[in-house]
Amino acid sequence: MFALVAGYLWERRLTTALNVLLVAIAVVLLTVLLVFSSQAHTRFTKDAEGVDLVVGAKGSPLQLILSSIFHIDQPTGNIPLESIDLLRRDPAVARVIPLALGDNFRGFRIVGTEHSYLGLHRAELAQGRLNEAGGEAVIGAEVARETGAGIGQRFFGSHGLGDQEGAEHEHQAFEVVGTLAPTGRVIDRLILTNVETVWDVHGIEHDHEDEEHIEGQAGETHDEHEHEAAVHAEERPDQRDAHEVEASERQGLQERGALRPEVTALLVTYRNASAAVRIPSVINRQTELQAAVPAVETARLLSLFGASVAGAQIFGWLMVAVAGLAIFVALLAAVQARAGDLALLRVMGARRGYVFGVVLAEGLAIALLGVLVGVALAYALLWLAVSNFRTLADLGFDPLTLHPGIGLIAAGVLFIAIVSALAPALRVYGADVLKTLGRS
Amino acid sequence: MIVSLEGVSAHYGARSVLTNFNFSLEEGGQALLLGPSGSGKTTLIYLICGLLSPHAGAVRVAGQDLSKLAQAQRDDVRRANIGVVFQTLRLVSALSVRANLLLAQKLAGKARNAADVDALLARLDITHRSHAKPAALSQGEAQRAAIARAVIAKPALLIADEPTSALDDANTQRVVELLKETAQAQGSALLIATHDARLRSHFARAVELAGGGAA
Repeated sequence: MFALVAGYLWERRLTTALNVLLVAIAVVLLTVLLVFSSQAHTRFTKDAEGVDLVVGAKGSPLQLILSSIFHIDQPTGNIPLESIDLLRRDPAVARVIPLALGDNFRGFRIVGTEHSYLGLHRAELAQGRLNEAGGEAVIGAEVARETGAGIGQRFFGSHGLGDQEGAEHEHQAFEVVGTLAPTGRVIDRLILTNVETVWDVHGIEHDHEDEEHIEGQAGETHDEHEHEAAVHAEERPDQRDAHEVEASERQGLQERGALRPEVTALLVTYRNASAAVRIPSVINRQTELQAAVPAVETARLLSLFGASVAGAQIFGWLMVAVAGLAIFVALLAAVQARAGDLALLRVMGARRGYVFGVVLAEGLAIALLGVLVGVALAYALLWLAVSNFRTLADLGFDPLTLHPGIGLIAAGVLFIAIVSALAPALRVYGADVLKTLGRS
Repeated sequence: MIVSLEGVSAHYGARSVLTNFNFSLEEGGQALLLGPSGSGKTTLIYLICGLLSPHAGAVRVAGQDLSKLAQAQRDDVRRANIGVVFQTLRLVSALSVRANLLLAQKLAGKARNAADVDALLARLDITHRSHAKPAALSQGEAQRAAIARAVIAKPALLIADEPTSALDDANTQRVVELLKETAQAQGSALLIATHDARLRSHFARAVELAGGGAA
């Protein structure tokens, strides 16, 4: 039967190709939607795990969540260092993890934070050790893979958060001291260092009192940094003028009070449920800070996203229905055109069920080819999208993982194909062989 | 007997085609059914093939009374015992000549045997066209391919319906001899239904139909 079905499909290859294409387009749409929505949902849920509250500068709460948890948007601003103590003193707070953002290396965000950030994402070292001294960095698995950076390698960060090229901070090099094992979370795409290093890179003066706000980090004195920067400038005389200008600008800003030790956001974990009611309310009403609840913002985002996805999915299934209709029309025309063939098959000994099966198999073969082509095209599109759009890569979309839901799409498309092929197949099943032979 | 009809009657509405018709053909035998259009030749073929049931009488193929069998069982009897060559309906259009023969083997319930197919194509001198689609064959090639398709499963009975219509004398002789030789080589009985009186001289046994039964 396979050879016969293949022969019939090849005989009408243009119609077959058009029907396969129609099914494939619908499958592309449904597959892309499925993979995107599923991976976004998983990613948003996983990355926000363990964080009950994000505290940052006033602004959009969604922006604060996107920039601090998912690392895909600009931060709302910086907040005073004292905010850490404010929260840590609260008995209902179990953990406060500071984040200091501002730079990137080849598009990967450099995050000044504490070692507890690794625990939040259940990250473990694959190689090397954790960062201790200033200038040391631990890189995520994806950063290591894409940049090829390894232990002992040095790099310069660039100003900005990855979606635009900024000036390099050539006075302060980072040294990779550890690489993390893959986690499937946002940390895979981050470069971790301590908060003081971020201040140093930006020429923000800080003292030991400031460093005490940042728990568990090895600090260095400002003199040491200044010395290092100076040595660096001596090693690269061509950069001296630029650094002198930069230092001069920094000094001016510091004198005006603009460059103070600050952090970008705080990731807060509660000790008990009662904190969920009190703390955000206190922060939002009584301070200059903003408190955003990841669960609320993520749910809002997914709800908006989900409504769009549901609309597009309905459109996708309508396209499958149109493809089914096209298969029905094509098969009906085909069985009329080859009535003689089918009668000959019956005379040759084929039972009614056999010729019924041939027509049904044709419909199924078109749908199956459409599904295969559609899924392949969908993943090619996903791969292209992730390769070309940084935000998708930053969200950690994996264009190579097959989603089990594709099986359901395939089953749905095949079911519609069976329904579409049923009427032509039944027509053949009930055909009067004698009449056909008489006409022939 | 590979086929026997006893007291068979068939009619289409008020028009009687066969009345109390008797006929039999032994295994390996060859016979000609001769008669003008409308004399019941095609009806007879349909009855033997189990595609039509007689209004009276019994049609037996390979010892089985077709009138006592269900349609699916009649299909099985036809599949196992009969090969038919039609005047125009020769091959499945979507398949090559070779693929047609392989399909015929399968539909007859036999194992696919490519060596048998190639040998038969060689014997009928159409090896060079084995991969051609039916639409690309000449009249003669299509005729030979249709004969090959009908006998590839070595049926006990080969039926040919008007195999020589529109052929000149030389080609008529060639086709009839080809049918006789091929049927003999495959061990099949041969029954040709035709209005072409030129075929009478090729057969020792000819049954004439004049509408309503044997003349």
